[in-house]
Parts: sequence; C-alpha cells; structure tokens
Amino acid sequence: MTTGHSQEPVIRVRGLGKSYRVFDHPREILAEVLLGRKNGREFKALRDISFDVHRGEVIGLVGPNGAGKSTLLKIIAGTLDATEGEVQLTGSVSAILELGTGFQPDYSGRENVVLGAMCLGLTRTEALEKLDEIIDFSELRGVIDQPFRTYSSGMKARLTFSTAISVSPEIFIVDEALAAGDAYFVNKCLIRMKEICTSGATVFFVSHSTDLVKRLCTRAMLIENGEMVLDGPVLEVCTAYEMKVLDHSSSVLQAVVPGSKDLNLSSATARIETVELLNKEGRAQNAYFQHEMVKVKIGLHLSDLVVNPALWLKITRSDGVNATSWLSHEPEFHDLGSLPSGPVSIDLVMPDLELGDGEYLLTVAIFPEKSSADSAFYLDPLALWEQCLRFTVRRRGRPLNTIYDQQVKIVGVSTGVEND
Amino acid sequence: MSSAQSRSQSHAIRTTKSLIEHRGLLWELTKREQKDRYAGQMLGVAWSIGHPLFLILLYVFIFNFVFRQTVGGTAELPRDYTSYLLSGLVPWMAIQESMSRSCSSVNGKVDLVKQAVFPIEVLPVRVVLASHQSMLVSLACLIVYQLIKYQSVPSTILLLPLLLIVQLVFCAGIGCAFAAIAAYLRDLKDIVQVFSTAGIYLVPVFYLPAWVPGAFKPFLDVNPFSHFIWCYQDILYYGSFRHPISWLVSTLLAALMFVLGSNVFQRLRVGFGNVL
Repeated sequence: MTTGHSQEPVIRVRGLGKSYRVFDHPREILAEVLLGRKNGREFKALRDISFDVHRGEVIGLVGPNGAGKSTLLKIIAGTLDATEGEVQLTGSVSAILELGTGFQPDYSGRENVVLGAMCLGLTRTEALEKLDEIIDFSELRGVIDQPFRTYSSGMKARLTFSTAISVSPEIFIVDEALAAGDAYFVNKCLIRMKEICTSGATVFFVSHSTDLVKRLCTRAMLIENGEMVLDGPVLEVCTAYEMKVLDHSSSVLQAVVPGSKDLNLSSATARIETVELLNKEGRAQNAYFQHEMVKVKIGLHLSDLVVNPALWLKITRSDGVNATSWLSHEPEFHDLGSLPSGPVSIDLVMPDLELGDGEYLLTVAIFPEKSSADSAFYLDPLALWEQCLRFTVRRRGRPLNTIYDQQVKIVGVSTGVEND
Repeated sequence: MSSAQSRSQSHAIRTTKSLIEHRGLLWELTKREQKDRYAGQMLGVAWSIGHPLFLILLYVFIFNFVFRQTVGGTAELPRDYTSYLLSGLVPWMAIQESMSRSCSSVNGKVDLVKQAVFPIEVLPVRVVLASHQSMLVSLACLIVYQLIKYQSVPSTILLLPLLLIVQLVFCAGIGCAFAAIAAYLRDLKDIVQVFSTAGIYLVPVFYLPAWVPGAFKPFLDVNPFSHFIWCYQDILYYGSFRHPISWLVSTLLAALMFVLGSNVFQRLRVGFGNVL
C-alpha cells in the first residue's frame, strides 16, 4: 500500500452521480436515450462520489440496504452508466455481481464451468486448463457431469463462486456473493480471496458484514443515502458504521415486549410500574455494545411499608437460554432498607455488560425479605414482571453466538525446548 | 459533423475489435445457441436441419405442383423454378431468422448483461451466426438438388463465401440494432415477426421481377433485401452477373448497416442496466 500511493490510481472516480428516472413505460427511456428528451421523475441513487484506489488496495464498501453500494459497484464494473462524473479504470476487471452468470440449468456442471469462465474473460484453452482446479476447489467432482439444475442452491453457489475466483483479474469486484454456501465453504472462499488480495490485485468488496470487511480489507468506505460518509482505515469506518447500526436498531427496536403487560403480576402490596434501560448518559436505549455501562431504572408502587425486599433480575436470550440472573440478597446481601408506601424508584447499574451477541429479555421481580426459617427458595414475589423489556447486545469484534465473554489472561508461556 | 462521423466509426471499430477479441466466446455461445434452441426436445439438433428442410419442401411442393410454375430452359432463365425459388429462399430465411432472433438476444440474457463484465455485442452476433448455420443446411439442399437435376452447379458458386461474409456483416448490423432497440421496446419482436411473414412476398423469391406490375417495380428496387436475393440468384441460379448494381448496393448496405447497427447498440447499451 505504501508503494501504491506513489503510482497512478487504478480506479479513479470523480464526482460520480447516478440518478434513476422513474418511468411509466420503457419507451420513455428509449425516447430519452435516443432523443435526449427528459421525462419521468428523478431519484438520486448516488451523489458526488469521488475517490482514488491504488494497486493492491482491498476496499470494503459498507452501508445499509439501499444506500447505493451495489449501484456504485455496477458503475465501476461498467454494467450501469453514470449520470454524472467519471470513472477511470486501468487494468482488467472481473466482477461477481451475482453468482451464476452465464450458467445454464440444462448443462452439466463441467460445461457450465467452461462457459462461465469464458464469460468472465478467459479463452477456451485457459478455461480448460483451469477446469480441474475449479472442480477441485468446489469439491463437486462427484456430480460435475450432472445437469446444473439438479444441484442444491448451496452447490450452485459453490460451483459459480469457484469459477468466478479462478480468473485472476487485476481489479476484482465482489458484491455480497460470499454470503452463499455453508460456513466451511465461506471460510475457504475467504482464504482464496485473501490470496487474491495479497497477490497484488485490487479488490472492491461489498458486504453487510463488517466482520468480513474487517478480515479482508485494508480500507473501507461507508455509503449512506447515496453519499460517501466516510472513507478511511477499515477499523475506523467499520466501528462508525456499527455504531450507526446500533443507534438505528435501538431507535426502531420495540423495547416493550408485545403482551408483556399481561406478564406483569402484582400483589396487594407492590406493583412494578416501569422498567427502563439507560445508557451512561442516562438516555433510554435498547441496544448496547458489550462492555458498555448499562443502567436499570425500576419504578415501583407500594401500598404498604416493605422492609428490605429482594430485587431479582433475570436476563433470558431470545432463544430461551437463561443468560444470567442476579438477586440483591444472594450471594452478596444488599439491604434496600425500609421502603415507605407510595412510588419508589430504584437505580441499578451494570458497569460492564458482559453478555454476548444477541437479543435479550429482561425479567424483574421483588420478593419479601426471607427469614432464615423459611424455605431456601424465593417463591412468592410481591411483584413479578416477566419479559418486561427487550434489548440487543453486540460484540465489538466479529459476531459470535456465545452468551458471554469469559475473561482470560495469559500468565506464562514455556516451551518444551531446553537450553543445553 | 466530422466529430460525430468519427465517433460513429469508432463505435463500429470498437464492436469489431471486441468481436475479434472474443471470437472464442462468440463461437462457443453460437454453438450453445443452436443447441439450446432444441434442448430437451427428442430430436434435438436434428430440428435445426429438419425445420428449414420442411419449409423448403413445402414451398417447392406448393409452387411446383399446386401453382405449377414452370420456368427455365432458356438462355434468359437457365434452370428450373425450384432452383430459382431456392436460391432466393435460402438467404431470405437466414436474414429473416437473424432479424427475429436478434430481437430477444439481449433480452433473453439479462444475467450476462447486468451482472458481469461481459462483451455484450457478442449476444446479437451469436444469433446471427447461429441462424446462418441453418442456412448452410438449406444451401446444401439446393446444391444437392442442382447436382441431381443438372449434374452441375453454376461456377459462380465460388463467390458464395464472399457473399456470405457480406450478408453476415449486414445481418450483424441489423441484429445489433434490433437487439438494442428491443431491450427498450419489447414490441419490436412482434413487429419484426409480422414484417418477416409479409416480407417474403416483398422480395423476388417466388416470382420473377418481370411478373410484377410496372407501378410496383420501384418498390422492389428500393427494398434493400431484394439486392441480396439478386446477388444469390446471380451465383446460384443465373451463373452470371445479371445484377451488378445489386452487388455494389449489397456491399455498401452491409457496411452502412454495420456502422449504423453498432452505433445504435453502443449508444443504447449504457441504458441496458436500467431497462432490463
């Protein structure tokens, strides 16, 4: 990358804009292209995009659905025209904008690989030379002479992707195609993509998964509403995008679980009125990064004096797994004191949210103080609100489906080699 | 004016270069096109021979035995009506097939147009080539017929490759234009189909120009397709250059049509992504 910047850019985009005209009939488009007559309404898909890409850079394009990522890729790949601005490319381009280009269902996998590779720019001889390599990569040798239509969608994806990455272009444009196939194959593709990346090819890569972008790319661009919002080092851009996504999901996520009011059980003594999750600024929020501080605000209404009740929180992952629970009396004893009748507000804080990726449901209950003679269980709650809140947690790194992150520290390394 | 002229020339050059560069792909797709057409059918590729053969037999039967057309045996008209009919019918069927099939050549390959960096000028040209593959079959029928009937074919048949190239260039031009326009205007396919049904009567295939009432003769002369038919009749039927002007007109038309067609195609292709 350091040497690349001194050279001419391989992709040079200046003031690129794309507006779609919304037409009522295709003939209006013909009239516009041929005669230059303007009709139809305008929709701006891309606005004033400019950037340079140098040889060997691996660029990830992130952004929400409909932001214009694919439109930008298609314009760079040349399958779509730009309304304004210019794109200059130096070098051969290969693009996987969608898997299965040139693949026909009635032909065998083998025939399709040959024609598919030719459609991507190889000559017939080159395609035949690479045939074995492609079949081996797809691991479909056993069915390669069967008609393509008999393949499962996963097998189709494997064969088409194997074909697509067999060509060694100078500029490689990939749109979302990696999402196909099982985890094992995706991983295999990633390794191959890495090889392409390190071979000095310039790669332009679109994905919703900031994780993939972080693993593959050196630089990232964030596009929103057709505009380039950020262009910079991959971690910086991805984090900014993740924050935006989190903010967004926080604002759209329905915090209160539908029907959860029915799960709010109260007694003559107490009722849970409100439960809120707040971020460290004290703003209500329902989506958090792991290791953030989360405040819990519980509003009770008591009809009687209650002495030192036990407060209970339970967090269940949306798939039903009990993630964690906490009781104010056990194992450590926290005395809430005597609470008079009337409204009572209790503030709790989780200083370091340890939960892993997922959507969680919060249950809140208060129990009367337990005398030592009673049973070991807290049985009769004064009030219990099951699944009162829903919230999301995101790991900052790549997504994992673990419930929480156990802290681990390395305290020593010794090798088996002895110094003689 | 001159810059516009050079731009349209560069479109034609760009198309030609791309076609030459991707000739392997073009050939492969042509073979596929022919195979695909009859894919899944019991007789398969046999249809690509059977289809034109049947049409030829039908026309020969109707005009020879039903309408009892008899010509030939004179210096003016050296061979029989069947030879005359076939020498015009064979190229016409190829031209007509090229035109109607090219209309869906781009529409039918949306994935290649939209999702890949792909030399799409190959698409209309491949159907033109595929259409002319069936023409070779019909040509063989004509030659076999003449060999049986006259034990010879006109020596002018040696010019056939040249004429075929001119016709291919002409059809490639029309094909590119039609393919591009049909992407926007789907009706073109039907317009072309209607025209080609009527078209066979607008070219001198079934009849001699001399049979046409004087008032209509100019129509025959301005019809560009007539000139191709006359060239074929010159080398396959008359065995001499009866229509020297037609040779000139055909060649010029082919060049003009190719420049025009590739121009239309290259200008319209930028919008394919929006309409398909």
